[in-house]
Order: sequence, then structure tokens, then C-alpha cells
Amino acid sequence: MLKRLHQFEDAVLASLALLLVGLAGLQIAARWHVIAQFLPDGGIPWADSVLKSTVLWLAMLGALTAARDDKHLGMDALVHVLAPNAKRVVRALAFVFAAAVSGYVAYYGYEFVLLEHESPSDSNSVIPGWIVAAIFPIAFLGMSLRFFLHGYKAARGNSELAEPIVVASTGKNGS
Amino acid sequence: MIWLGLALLLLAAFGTPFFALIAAMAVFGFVYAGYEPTLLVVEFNRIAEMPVLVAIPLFTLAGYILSESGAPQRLVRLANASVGWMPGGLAIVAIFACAIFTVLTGASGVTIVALGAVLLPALRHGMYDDKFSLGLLTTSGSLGMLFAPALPLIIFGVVAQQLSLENAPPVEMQQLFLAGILPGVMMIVALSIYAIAKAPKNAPLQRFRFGEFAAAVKDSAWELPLPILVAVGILSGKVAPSEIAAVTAIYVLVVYVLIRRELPFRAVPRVLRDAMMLVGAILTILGMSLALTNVFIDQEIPTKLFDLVRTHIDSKITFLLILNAFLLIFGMLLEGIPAIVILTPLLLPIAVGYGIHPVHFGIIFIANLQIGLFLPPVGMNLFIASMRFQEPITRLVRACVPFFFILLLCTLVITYVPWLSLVLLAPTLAPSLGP
Repeated sequence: MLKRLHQFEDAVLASLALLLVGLAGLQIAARWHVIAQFLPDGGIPWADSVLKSTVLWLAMLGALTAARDDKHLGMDALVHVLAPNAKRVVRALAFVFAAAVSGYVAYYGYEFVLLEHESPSDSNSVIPGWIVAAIFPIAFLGMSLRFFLHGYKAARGNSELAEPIVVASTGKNGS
Repeated sequence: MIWLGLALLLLAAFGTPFFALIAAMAVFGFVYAGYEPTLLVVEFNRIAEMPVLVAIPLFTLAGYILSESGAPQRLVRLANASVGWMPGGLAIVAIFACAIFTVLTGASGVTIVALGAVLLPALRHGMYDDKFSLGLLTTSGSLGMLFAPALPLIIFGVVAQQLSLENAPPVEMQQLFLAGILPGVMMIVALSIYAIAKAPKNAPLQRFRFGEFAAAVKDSAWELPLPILVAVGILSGKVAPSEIAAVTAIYVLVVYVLIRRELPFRAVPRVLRDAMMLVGAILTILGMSLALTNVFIDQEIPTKLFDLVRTHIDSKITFLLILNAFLLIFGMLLEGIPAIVILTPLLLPIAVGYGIHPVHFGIIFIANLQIGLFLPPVGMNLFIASMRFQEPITRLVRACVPFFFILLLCTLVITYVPWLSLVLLAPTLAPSLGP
């Protein structure tokens, strides 16, 4: 079940990244008049706002997945050298704090969605602002839960420090 | 207030994600000043409004794909065929290859992982001293950060543009890109001279063979257009960074997935996901810091800080020296991009107060970060190199010492000779700031 969710999450993230590349390409093609004859005058009016929303969603979903894999940027030099018991306490504290802050931001993200629903800040946007903003409470609530789980695992002593983001992600470390 | 600061510092040392710490500070600031905490999200939402922001995911994506392709190996082969015949040629190959790769991949650290495996055995085979080789590769992992379109330059530009500076020209992306060229070249030349001096005396010199050179060029036929495309696009000033980023990402995807097929279809979602995790981690920090910057400006903290600094330091020269020391330490602790995002709103107004051109400040900042990334005890690249080369950190630290001093000297030159950063800017934008 959880594995399915993670696969789904990865797929959404990858698709959004491809959508971003596609939209950015389309926009350039329009601006440089490569495909101008196929388009109405003035390029693609909706591309800009959709592109912006896509970056925001990508950033938030990327952050949500980074919380899952403990890939958020922070200082871990001290944690590396601590004794196992101290490491447990320290890591649990850090995660619980991150969970609390994320939860707080999620709540005010929800308020922001309500605000956007009542009085949209950009009435020209193709996608209603409150739908774009909905990613805030969703992603931050998810991050809060994940940080809390990490904190729980760390307190029980069965959590390993993640490798630095670049090394782990290229999958070539230590070979 | 002091207790809160201490608590946050402690949490930072415990490894709490930076974004959560910045968010906590911003929320505290808003509530303290009597604003609604919703303002945090309103400010965060502004990241969607920055046109240059599209460039960040696109460049990161291109970088991750490049590092998984065979491009690093071909780049090294080509560099070796071109300058490998010189004394110290192989080391110069390493320096150039690392610099180009860091520019294209933006985030440093990837360079050590992707190129280290090719370059370390090559240097060993070329009879270079092991300590020299390890030091060179660990150092070169952050080389190239001053060249466009490396991410640190773009991020600095984004952050600086958010600040409305009095008595200072606005920071434009194009100017930053131009300003980084000479300082970056100076660092490469300085390291190359040292490499020539340290070249093994008894090693047989490799001869220049045209056949191999031609073959290497042919082999990298798909890679060669990329740096040219990026450089021409940026220097022409007619193309926005986000457009160059889009073209780069599309080119890289098409070439390595569809044409060369070095990245199997199966692997694409994983690479995309990993790249977007880094993007998410960077942009959450950036978004939260937009809110914090607002708190700073509202509370006039940069002005107060400037007045405080001014009472203790009245010469620009002393200020710059202290700035360098400060940036080195925080560059090491905050690992590059977070340092730019957190410190620029506080330090840039002070620097401008001392009559430093904002673009010059950006270059000083990034030059220091570049060193901070391999500064002991906790520079990020030391850990990455240690994992990559399977060497203890202490050995890498000793190996990096001469390189540290060379780059420190370069950074001091960059700091005290503003001409180097500003000469390429359009004459009308040249420094006209009073002290």
C-alpha cells in the first residue's frame, strides 16, 4: 500500500517535470516564432501562468518527496559524530520540530487557500488561484506527517542518516 | 529573543532542515510585529511570480541527466586529447573538465561524483602524486560556480532582486553572468599554474596526436554544442536564463534518452524524481526566506545591523576582510545555496552601505562559498569526496591545504580589485558608487 503510494508520488513528480520541460519548450517555440503559424497571434496566452503554477507544484511535491527520503538540506556534521544514544535524541528533536513547523505552515496554507477562494489575487489566471494554492496545505501536511514518522523512527533508534543529496541521487556512490 | 535564537541555533546544529528554521524565524517575526501568520504563505507563494525561477528546475534536470550519461567520460577524453601533451596537462584537463561540468550541472558535489571516478585513476596512471590528485579533485568539485548559468549565480540574482537597495543600481542577471567571467578564469589559471609546477618530472610526456584529437571531437559531437549554446545565449543578453534552461533541458533529454540512449527509459522517472527532490529542497528554503527577508526589511534589521557594524568598523578594507572570514565560515556551515538565500538579505545592504557594488558583492560571496564547500571541518565536498574516493576526511583535508591557499589568494584579489568583476559590465553600469 505504502509502496504503491510512493510509486504514484514518484510518477506524478516525474510527469510534472516532463510537463514543465514541454511547456517551457512550447513557450520558447511561440516566442521565437518557430511554430507561430500554428498558433494564435501573441503566442500561447495561458502558457505563462500554467508554467508558474507547475513550478510551484513541482517545488512543493519535490519537497514532500524529499521529506519522505530525508533529503532536505540541513547541517548534519555534528550529528555524524555523536554517540548513538545522543544521536537518537538529537535527530528525534530535529524531526519533531520540522514536523511542528510544517504542520503550522499547512494550517496557514489552508487559510491562504480560503483567502484565494474569496478574493483571487490574479483574476486573469487560467487555473483558479485557490486550486494552485491548494498544494500548500497538502504538501506541508504530508511533510509534517513524514517528519513526525522520521522522528518516531529516530527516537526508537532505527533510522540511519541519509547520504548527501547529490551522492545518493546519482546512485554511483562508493562504487 | 536571545533564548529563541539560541534554541534555533541548537536545532540547526541538530540537523533540522533549514527551511523549517527559516519558517520559524519568519513566523516569529510576523507575529511579533503584529501581522497574520498567513503572510508567510502569501510571501512563499511569490516564488511562483519570479520568471527566472523556471530556470532552476530545468537546469537541475539537465545536470542530473548529464551526470548519468557518458558525457563526463567524453569530456575528459576530449580535454585530454587537447591539452594532455603539456606538462601538468592531465591536471589541467581535470580542472577544465570539473569547471565545465559544474557550470552545466549547477549544484556542485555532482562533479566529484560524476568526474572523480574517471579522473582519479587517470591522474594516478599519469604518475601524479596521490595527495596532489585528491586535493585537486576535491577542490575542483566547486570550481566553475562563478560561471553562468551555475545555480549559485542565478539564486544570488533572484534574492538580490527582491531587495530594494537605496543608492545602488539594481542587480541584473546578465550583469552577474558577465561579472563572474574574469574572477572564474583567474581561479582556473591559478590552479593550472600550480598544476604545471607540481607535474611529475619523470613521467613520460604524452604526444599530441591529431588522430585521437579528431576522434575525441567526433565522439563528443553531441556534447560540444551545449557549452557553446549556453555561453552564446547568455552573453548575447537577448535570451532569458529560463529560455536557455529550457533549451538545455530539452536538448539533454532528447540527446541522452532518444538519440544516444545512454539513459534507459526505465531510469528516466528516477532521475527526474531525484532532480525534483533537490529542486523542492532548494525552493522551500528560497520561499521561506522570501518571507524572512520581508520581516528583516519591515523591522529595518539590515539598517540597524549596518549602523551597529559602522560603529565598530569604519574602513571599507577592514569590512571586506571581516566579510570574507564570515562568508567562508558560513559558506562551510550552510553548504552553498542556503548560505546565499539566508545571508544575502542581511549582508548586501551593509555592503552597499560601504560602497560595494551589489554585483561585485555577489561575486565575492560566491568566491567565498566555493572555498567554504571544501573548508574543514564540515565542508560538504569533503564528505562527498571522502565517500567517492574511499579516503578518510583527514587525508583529504591535508591534501586540500595548498589549493585552499591558492583560491583564498584569488578570493582576496577578487575582493580588493572590484575592476576584475565589474570591467565587463556595460560602461554605463560601471561602479560609480561613492564610499
